[in-house]
Amino acid sequence: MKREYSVYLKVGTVIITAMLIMMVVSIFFTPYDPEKMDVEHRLQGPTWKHILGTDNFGRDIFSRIMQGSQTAFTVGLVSVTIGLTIGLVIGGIAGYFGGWADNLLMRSMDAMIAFPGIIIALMFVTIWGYGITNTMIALGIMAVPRFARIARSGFLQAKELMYVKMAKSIGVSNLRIMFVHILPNIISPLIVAASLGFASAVLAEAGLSYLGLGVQPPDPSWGTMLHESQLYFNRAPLFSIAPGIMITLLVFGFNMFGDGLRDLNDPRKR
Amino acid sequence: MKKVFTILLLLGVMLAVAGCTDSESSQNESKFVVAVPQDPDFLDPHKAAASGTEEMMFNVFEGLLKANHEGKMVPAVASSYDVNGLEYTFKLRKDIKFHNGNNVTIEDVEYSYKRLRGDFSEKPLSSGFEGVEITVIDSETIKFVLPEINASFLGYLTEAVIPASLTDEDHNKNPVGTGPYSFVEYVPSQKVVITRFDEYWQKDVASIKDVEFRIFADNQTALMSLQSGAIDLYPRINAESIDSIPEDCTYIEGPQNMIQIMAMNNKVEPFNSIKVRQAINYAVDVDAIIAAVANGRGLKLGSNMSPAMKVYYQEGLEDTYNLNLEKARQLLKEAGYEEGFTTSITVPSVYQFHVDTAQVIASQLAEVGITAEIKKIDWNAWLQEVYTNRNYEMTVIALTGKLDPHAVLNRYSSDYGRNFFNYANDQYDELMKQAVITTDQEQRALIYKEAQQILADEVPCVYIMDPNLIAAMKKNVKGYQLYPIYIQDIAVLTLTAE
Repeated sequence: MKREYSVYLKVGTVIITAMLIMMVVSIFFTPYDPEKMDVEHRLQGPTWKHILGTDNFGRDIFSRIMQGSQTAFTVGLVSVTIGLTIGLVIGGIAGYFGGWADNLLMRSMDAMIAFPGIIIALMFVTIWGYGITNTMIALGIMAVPRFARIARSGFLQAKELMYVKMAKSIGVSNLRIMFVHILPNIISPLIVAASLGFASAVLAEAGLSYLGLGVQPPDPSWGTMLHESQLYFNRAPLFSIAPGIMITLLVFGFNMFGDGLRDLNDPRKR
Repeated sequence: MKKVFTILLLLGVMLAVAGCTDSESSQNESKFVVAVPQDPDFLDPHKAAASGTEEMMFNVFEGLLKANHEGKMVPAVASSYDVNGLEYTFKLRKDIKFHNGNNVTIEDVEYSYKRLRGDFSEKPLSSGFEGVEITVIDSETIKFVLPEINASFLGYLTEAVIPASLTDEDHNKNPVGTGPYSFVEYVPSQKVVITRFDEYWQKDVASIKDVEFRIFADNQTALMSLQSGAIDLYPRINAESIDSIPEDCTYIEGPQNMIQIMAMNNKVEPFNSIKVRQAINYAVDVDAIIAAVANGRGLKLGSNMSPAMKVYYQEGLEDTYNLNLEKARQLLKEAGYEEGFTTSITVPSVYQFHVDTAQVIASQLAEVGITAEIKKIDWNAWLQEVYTNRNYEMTVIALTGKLDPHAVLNRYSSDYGRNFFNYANDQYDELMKQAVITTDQEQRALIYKEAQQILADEVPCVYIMDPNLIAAMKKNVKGYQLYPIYIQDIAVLTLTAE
């Protein structure tokens, strides 16, 4: 039984590790300068020199794909960190203290969930300006309610447990109880949520960049590459297909990983 | 078994549906279909401001004068005219009819231009008639008296003559004009249909009978329709799509009287230094830009005038600043920027063409140590920040063509309200003032040529290119003419049998 479920975990781990290796390599080495234009050799098909061909400015697509993975990981990591941190604080206060704070905070979270995430992100970048920083902040804020809900339910359950009551009775401060005693015990569903949140952040960044609102040229991003390539689809199909596959793979990888983790932690499936 | 049956049933339905569409399209076959990118803003010709509207309605409306494919003004509703200083006298063409069958009277002409002047509305509908006296002399003569000399006035008389008997609402709903085609219907975001007007004053001009302007918001959809044979004429096809034009189609290309520039804010450091501006001009390889963003289909420019404006174009300026990195570095050194500097290029994000151009320029400027960050902003923000507030360093934009050279070049006059380059040169201002009061056309052309030379010397901008207008059409379409203005002349087209 257990073996069957861990296939998800294995597939996810393999994909993520491969992507991570590619990202780390791209920091030190890419076959070509990803921003170096070579107009004479634009829109070439795959050759031994350019294994994925060149884009509309004659830049090496493979190098840009590699470089683009940095963007994807940065966006995923930063926005998940923002979402997780704020979500944990909000969920912690709501779950641990309860009462009116719980009501106020969680109803605001509900209100946020009522808006489609992409609309909030669009609003955010329209007001504060396009660019990767604002995209990451917007995506991070979008992710807050999900983490807040999970954190809240964890704290809510834990605060009634014996070890918490004991700690309280010997006068440990609330803050210490929350983050030193409870948090380690409720971390696994949060990690699962973070993994899934990572995938949706990468997807949302690709969407925003595709709309031209996310990562700005000439910085490579898979979404931006998709946006730039659509005019040339007939002449250089790989220019569109390559970033498309990368986005799909990374999102698929993190979803698999998240699912695998969840199953691993789920007592019913053990 | 049940599954198989369902599939068969589905197939049957699909075939039936496909059959329907087939028979429908064969009904449409007699219509000549033109792909256009946008809806008309107003059908009322005096209210319409979008070039996309003019593109279609050029076939429906005419003014006293009309532009021909060389950009010259030729008599249309007027049969002849006479200019005497400030007085412009027009003779009405005899027996000219509106699409509703009524004769055009001098009162209609009077009504039309008074309407434009703003006599029947709160605000004038056209700025060109401000302070102009309009008097009817007799039943076939009308006179315009200008408050001051304005060499561009004739251009305003291409504004449509429309019947005085129609209400404002009718003008916008069922517009009536005098052109070779009459308006039939407009279905929002789908199509505008026009049909040949058989009582047009010029006999046997138009040959195609029914014309449909089909609205495609998306280039790729329009391209696919061309490939499937659903459209006959696709003007302004993207240069990158040329290889996708199907076998049974062909294309015509030429300059479209558009000037793509990278403007520099001449009042902001370091662009207030002429040496820096020249250095940037030497560092930017215009040929590479044309190859990279226009697929090689654009005419290199050297000043603020397109070769489409044959009479006024100053030749030989386009190679003044060919790529020369040595010279660029030398000039930067002389200006005190040996180490280069950091700056920004603001581009309106809706125009991928300009965004791409900015990317190429940024990578070229990096070669001489200038770091240019690309700032994409939306169109309204661009109009506000760059065009109006002049709060920018560099920007890539295209100036659309005008038939009047004054409108093209006066942008650089220091007292012009939209001189967003912040360019100021006394000699240039003087030339512009002279040109307006010079009525001798040859003399006037010489003045404008001199002005272009000044712009090429002092380079307030990098003059990039006039991107070619490419019109794709079926092979049986003959006679297509490129205009230096944004219109499609359907009357000149003929269809050959194949």
